[in-house]
Amino acid sequence: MDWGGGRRGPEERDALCALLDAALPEVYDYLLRRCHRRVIAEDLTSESYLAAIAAFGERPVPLTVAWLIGIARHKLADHWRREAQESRRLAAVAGVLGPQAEPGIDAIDTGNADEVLQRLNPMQRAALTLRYVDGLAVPEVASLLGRSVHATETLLVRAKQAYRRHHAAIAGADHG
Amino acid sequence: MAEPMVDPFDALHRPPGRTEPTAAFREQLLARCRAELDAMRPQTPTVLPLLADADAGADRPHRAEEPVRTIVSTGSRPRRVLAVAIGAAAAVLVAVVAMAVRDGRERADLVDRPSSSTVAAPVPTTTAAMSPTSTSAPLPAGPELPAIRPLEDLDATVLLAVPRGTEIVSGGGTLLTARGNVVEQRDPDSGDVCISATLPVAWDVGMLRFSTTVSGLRPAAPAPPSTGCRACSTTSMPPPVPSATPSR
Repeated sequence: MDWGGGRRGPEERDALCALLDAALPEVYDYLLRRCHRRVIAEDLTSESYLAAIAAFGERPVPLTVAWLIGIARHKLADHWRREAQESRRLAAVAGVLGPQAEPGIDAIDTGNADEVLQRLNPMQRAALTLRYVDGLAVPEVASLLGRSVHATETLLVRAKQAYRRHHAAIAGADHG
Repeated sequence: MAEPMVDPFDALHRPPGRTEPTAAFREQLLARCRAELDAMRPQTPTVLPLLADADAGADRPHRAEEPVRTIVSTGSRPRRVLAVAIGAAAAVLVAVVAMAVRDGRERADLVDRPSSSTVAAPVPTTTAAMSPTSTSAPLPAGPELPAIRPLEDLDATVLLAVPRGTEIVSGGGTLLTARGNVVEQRDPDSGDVCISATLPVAWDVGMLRFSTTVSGLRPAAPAPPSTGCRACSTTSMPPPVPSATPSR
């Protein structure tokens, strides 16, 4: 009997089920450590798994954890884009101006990286996370965020500046 | 040798970890995934014998034990209907063209006839009675009205060729169309309708289309009198003369 429009057999379906079961902790952990909210991580995990099943029914796919992580990364980027749009709407309503550029610092403290990242705006957080936490190249980050490479580089520069500014603010609050 | 540039933000890199989701979430997600995979399984098609022709089984009574089949005909029925429609349209077009050609020839014959321009002297009104049921009968062509003859018969309409200046005394018919300057008048005494057709100089024959009956025709006078019509002052035609033998 054929599966997935005649392109998938029952053994491949069993393999996909096994992969989804086994990779769930890694996919869920990947998403949770980047969005830092359990509810959002669960939603994005569900979206990623359903997208994987849809792709499985449409075309040949590599049944690997990396393939699932790639899907999850796209879903995470979509989530950040939606969040950025919402933030822009809120900022437009409140009349909030964007952060001003500040001189950079050579070294950063990663001890409170999660807290600092959560204070960034969504696109800056997405750019820094994909570029440095995931270790993707700038063109890959640009592709995931739907921007040009040049625009992504500019976004990364501003994200770093914002990161340092928030890091300094948190550190000042802790010392004060 | 220069040291490679190190981005301090590289310290943010984290190796992949394994954070177990809740058992409820795991069960719910995997159950949904299995349902999605089951939904992708193609259904076994029910193969029913196709009818050779959609019309073949139309008259056969349906048996209760056989399934109801809805067959979308891909045969030649739409093409047959289309061919019949095209044929009917072509036939109508040919008929219309033929009628137009025949009408044009008849009108050309009237214009070209030299006898139609010769109008005799005033004579008593000649009656050309035509009823709706007798419109196909040709008008009596006497020596006084050589050019008057029916051109076209319809159910209650007669088309007459009228020499220039001819008066048509109608017994109640309605003027439908006319060539030339036609004035409809009504005689106050008899109530008959007098229609004076004053045609252009270049025309020898005018054509008037009446409905129902035409009770009288009178050839035109050689020279129009100056008195004019009592009912209409815009024409130089003589006053209407009541029909000598009205049809009604």
